[in-house]
Amino acid sequence: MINLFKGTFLRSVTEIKRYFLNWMSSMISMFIIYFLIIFGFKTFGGPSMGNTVQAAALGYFTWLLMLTTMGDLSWTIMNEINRGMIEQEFLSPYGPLAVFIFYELSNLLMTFPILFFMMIVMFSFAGISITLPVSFYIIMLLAMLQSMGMGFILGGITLMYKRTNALLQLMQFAVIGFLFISAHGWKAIFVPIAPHFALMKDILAGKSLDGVYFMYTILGTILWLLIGFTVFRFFERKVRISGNLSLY
Amino acid sequence: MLKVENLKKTYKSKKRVVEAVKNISFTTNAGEVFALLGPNGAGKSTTIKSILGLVVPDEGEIYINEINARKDRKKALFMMSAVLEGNRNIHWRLSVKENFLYFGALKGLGGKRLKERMLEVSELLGIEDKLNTIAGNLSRGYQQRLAIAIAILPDTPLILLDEPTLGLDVESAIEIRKIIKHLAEQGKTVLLSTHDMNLVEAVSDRVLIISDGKVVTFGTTKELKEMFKAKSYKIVFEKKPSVEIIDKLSEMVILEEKGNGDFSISVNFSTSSHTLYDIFEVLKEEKPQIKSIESEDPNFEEIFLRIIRGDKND
Repeated sequence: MINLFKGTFLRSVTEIKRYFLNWMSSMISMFIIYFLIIFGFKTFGGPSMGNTVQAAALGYFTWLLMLTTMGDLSWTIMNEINRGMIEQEFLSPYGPLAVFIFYELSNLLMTFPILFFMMIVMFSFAGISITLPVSFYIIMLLAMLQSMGMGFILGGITLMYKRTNALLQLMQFAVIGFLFISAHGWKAIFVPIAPHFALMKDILAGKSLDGVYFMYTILGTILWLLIGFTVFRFFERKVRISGNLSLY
Repeated sequence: MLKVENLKKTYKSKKRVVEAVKNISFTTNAGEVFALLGPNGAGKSTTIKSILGLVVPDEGEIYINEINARKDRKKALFMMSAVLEGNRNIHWRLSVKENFLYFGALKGLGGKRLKERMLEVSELLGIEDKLNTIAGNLSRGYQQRLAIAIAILPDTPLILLDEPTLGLDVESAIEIRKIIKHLAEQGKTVLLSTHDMNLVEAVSDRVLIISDGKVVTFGTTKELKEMFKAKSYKIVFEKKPSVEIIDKLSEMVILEEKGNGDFSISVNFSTSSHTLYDIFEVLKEEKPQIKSIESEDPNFEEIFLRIIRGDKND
């Protein structure tokens, strides 16, 4: 298993290193959109928009975080089916789920520092203090893990139905909706991302961390990861029964 | 080594139902090159993918060294590796070395052992000087060598090769033949699926011919050749017989006129209802001078075609 992780990590590092400019250009375009939004708020919103600017900055960053982690697996699978490499990954004795979990974790390890750097720049521009408590970063990591779980649901669908470009594009906007769901108490376990966003917003507003709600957020993260893995396993078997793994 | 028992697979979709594999059984031995032959759509790839677990069969069992591959896929996958049809075995954007490290890791290899194996197999496949080349920049022949190198990297006792010479030039195809032979000499079992009859004839110990999802025949290449031996004859004449004779013969056998003035008739008694005596009966009328009568040994390609057409049963 350690060797499997080393291999997938090496692949992830090599791909990001080799195609860094490509990756960065998409990030820069996201940056530009962000600056335009915040600039718009600051210019036309007036001084009373203070908290709204912060919420918009955090919302945009959380959205970016989700996009980076949630869609990644599906695009990877689509590319690998297209190139024809997917079957070799299914021939790993550890199974495709383990291969892709390690690959996604490797990508997360690689992108986390970059996203962290982007967050500092973005938050500075929006006037948010960058000296945030550790709990903020833990929640940020939990949000990424939960998005990864949702990514496995989409990845499983992609394994089965292949060309899910339209679904992925739709999901980019659908996830914005999650940010605005108000999930109180134990219901937070079942609603993706909203509790993470609510907690991060509270921390930015200087409120103390709600321990119980934080627990629900952790449980919700685990739940969505498990749902993601289960759905992926379901489609993995279904695609082997239908025999259309390598068809694109 | 590998035992396939009563394998069945039907693909069902809303539009149609296809019985890809109807009831296939066979056993291979260690150190053997076992060829799986059949026309397109015969069920070769489904059989290979079922063994690998890429397709879940409806019925049947698959054992690799006594391990039930359907029940314990993980253990079975540690014992086999494959090169699948086409360019679907390598990561085009990684270098040759990175491909080794990634696919080796997928099989659980790492550290010193992986590096040692990488050097061994890259040398064996003649790609040791390409380690830093991006796989996508290699020629088709070298890409296939890399795919085979990756498959033999984990040193599994069973290696499945699906169309390993497809799209390769003659030189590369010959190299692949040598490698397959070498693998068998090392005690590996190679299950080969191909349309390349030269490859089958050159490397296979035994051949299983399937058509329409069923086993048509099975045996060594020698046995299959024997099956058709002396069933074909070629009668060469000093000069062309009369038109009347030719007309009569053409209704019975295949006629062939050569550029050097010779005229010959080919008689394949496995496909013809006539006997050599019938032919002589016609020839007796004119008694044309016979230069030679040769028994023709068909090549493996012809044998394959005859078997697929069902000639064997005649």
